[in-house]
Amino acid sequence: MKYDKIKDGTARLFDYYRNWLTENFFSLSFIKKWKEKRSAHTDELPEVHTGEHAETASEIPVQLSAFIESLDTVCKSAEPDFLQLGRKLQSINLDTTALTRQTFETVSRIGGESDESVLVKVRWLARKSLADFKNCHIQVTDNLSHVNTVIVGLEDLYNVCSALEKIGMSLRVVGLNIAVESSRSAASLNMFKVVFQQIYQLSEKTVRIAESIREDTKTTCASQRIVHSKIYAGLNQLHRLANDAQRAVQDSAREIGQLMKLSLETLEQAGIHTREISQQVGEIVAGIQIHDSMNQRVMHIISALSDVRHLFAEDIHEGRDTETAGSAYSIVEIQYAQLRQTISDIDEVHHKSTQAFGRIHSEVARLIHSFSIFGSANAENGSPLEFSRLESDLSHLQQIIDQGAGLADQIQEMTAETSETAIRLADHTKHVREVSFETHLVALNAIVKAAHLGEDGKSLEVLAQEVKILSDQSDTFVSDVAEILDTISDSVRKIRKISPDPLEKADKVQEQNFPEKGFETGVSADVGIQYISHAYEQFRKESLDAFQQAEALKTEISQTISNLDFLPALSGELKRLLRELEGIGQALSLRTCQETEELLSDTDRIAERYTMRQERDIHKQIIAQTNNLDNNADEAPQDEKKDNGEKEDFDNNVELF
Amino acid sequence: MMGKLIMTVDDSASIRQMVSFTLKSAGYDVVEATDGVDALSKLKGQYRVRMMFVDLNMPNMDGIELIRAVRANPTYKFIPIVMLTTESQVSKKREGKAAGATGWIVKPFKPQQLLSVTKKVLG
Repeated sequence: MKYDKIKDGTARLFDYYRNWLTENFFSLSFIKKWKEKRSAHTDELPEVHTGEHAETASEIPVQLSAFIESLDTVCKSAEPDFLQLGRKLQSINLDTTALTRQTFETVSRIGGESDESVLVKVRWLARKSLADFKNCHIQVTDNLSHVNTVIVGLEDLYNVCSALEKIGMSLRVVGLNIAVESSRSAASLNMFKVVFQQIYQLSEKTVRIAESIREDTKTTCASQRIVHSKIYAGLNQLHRLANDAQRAVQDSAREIGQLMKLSLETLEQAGIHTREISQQVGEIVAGIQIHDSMNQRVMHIISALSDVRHLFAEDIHEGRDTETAGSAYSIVEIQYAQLRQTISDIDEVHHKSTQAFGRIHSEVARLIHSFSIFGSANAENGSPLEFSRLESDLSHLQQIIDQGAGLADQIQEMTAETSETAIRLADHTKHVREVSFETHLVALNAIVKAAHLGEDGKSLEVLAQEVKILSDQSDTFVSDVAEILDTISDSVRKIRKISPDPLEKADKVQEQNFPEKGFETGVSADVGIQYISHAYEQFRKESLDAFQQAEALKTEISQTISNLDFLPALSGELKRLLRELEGIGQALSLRTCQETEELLSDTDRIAERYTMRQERDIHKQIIAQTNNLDNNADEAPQDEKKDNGEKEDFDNNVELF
Repeated sequence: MMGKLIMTVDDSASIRQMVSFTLKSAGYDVVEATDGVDALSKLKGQYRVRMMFVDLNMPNMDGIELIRAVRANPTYKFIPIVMLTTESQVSKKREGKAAGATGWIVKPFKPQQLLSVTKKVLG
């Protein structure tokens, strides 16, 4: 009864496997392809008559030997393909890493958030240009105020000149009076003749200086009024330009903001693509390890079948082959299931690897697509819209700054005129001071001489005192003029001090922030234009290069996907061998008559060779099915579960002691 | 710049290839050995190995035997040795732990797992 039960059970099992194989595995095209591809190898494989049952018991060990040799050869011959796949994976990973790094570097250099990014520098330059421009505007406003102060000073000077002229005239009148009074006696005439001449000359000199200062002041004041009106007009123009510059910088900032947003999106996308690529590479790395797993399982299958072959060969010799057929059949049945699972795993690896390489292909395409959105990677000519707009905005800003700089230059020239006037007026003051000093000496001399005349010199003494008063008035005039001139000179100095050359400032900006060679010195916005043009040109070249690299990489990935055909070919060859094993199993099933207990003890021995949980699960499953036991082999054996209870940040297959 | 040197000991060329690929991609240097005997020979050479990934079942000398031999060498007495094997039986893990294994990874591994363990062990 037990024998019939086993026989019926195994027959059902083989029927099940046959149907399953027909549905899932037996694609003749795979085998044909494998044979074509591996004609050299297959020529070496022993010829086995698939599906034919052994006519006699002695044929079974022969068929097993041929099967073992074929299985071993098929597995060994697969190694170069797995290693080649590994090399291809390394090459593709290297290329994708280089491509993603280049994408990151290129996009970061243009639009990253660091201070080294081109857009950050250009934005800084645009703002700096505007600040310089506003500063220039403030300086011109201040200059206008100072020029106004100069004009007021000149007007004051013009007004005080009449006082000096009056002093000169008075001095002449006093001199004439001295001449008249001194002519009353010979002694006084003799004494005051020289004094009169000196006073007369000093009066002439004073009048001349007063006229000269007044004339000079009048001319200078007129020219400064013109300067003032020009600066005023220039200031209004600068005011309008400043508003334009403000708008130009705002436009630039908008374009820069747009480009930076795009670049950050590109970097974010690149990060997503890189992570996805890394994950898919991981899938393939895990898949390639099927080679090791397959080798181990095949080695165990071969060992088990070798046991069967030896056992059966010995028992045939001793005429006990029917007694061992049951045990042999069960072992073969288990190996059939092990090989079937191995084939299934290879097919799964093929499916997953094809899918993973396909995803890497897609991710590379997406990566380069996001790159091209940012910078029009495949554009042959010209910049994309945002770059063109930015260049246009910066160019507009540059024109405004050029106009501002021109105005600043004109104002600078005009203030130079004011400066020269101040120096010239200072010379006049020196002469007035000399005349005043001489007048003072003459007055003292006259007072002394009048005293010598005694009572006759009373009237002359009064006149001499008058000369001294005029001399003192002249001193006061000199002090007033000096004060006015100080005010004018101070304003002129201030004009000089607050009008540094805007070009010079821009050069300093360039030296500090843009040490790269190849840019001419100039106004900062101009530097920004050159910088953005240069950077975009470099970006365009790099992105084009990246685009070409991506195309080559995509081709390499496609080729590797195509080369994955060795997996279905291997699977096909193993399926062919699976059918052979099925034939051997059927031949054994016809001869089996063994009891279940003995069968189990034989199969337990081969279980000791297993090195994988999967092998043990399959083994238990087959034994359970054969014995109609309700044993769920999917449940992991307690011995293979994690026993230390330690919580690690790793997956289930990783444990640190 | 030289990275830390890690040895992978496995009789499977494809496993050695994938371990090397994973570690080298992360900046480590890798030396390969085909079995325990080959590994011991290379450890005696000029290499200054900082960590080892060792398979369990190998010809000539298996992983457990190799760990015992390495632990007997004063230079490598405290070197981290992580078993990288298809074997997942608790009894085998206990045997490895008793021999001096630092950890246990059941194949197939994912690159990130290998690197996480390496970083944790090497610091």
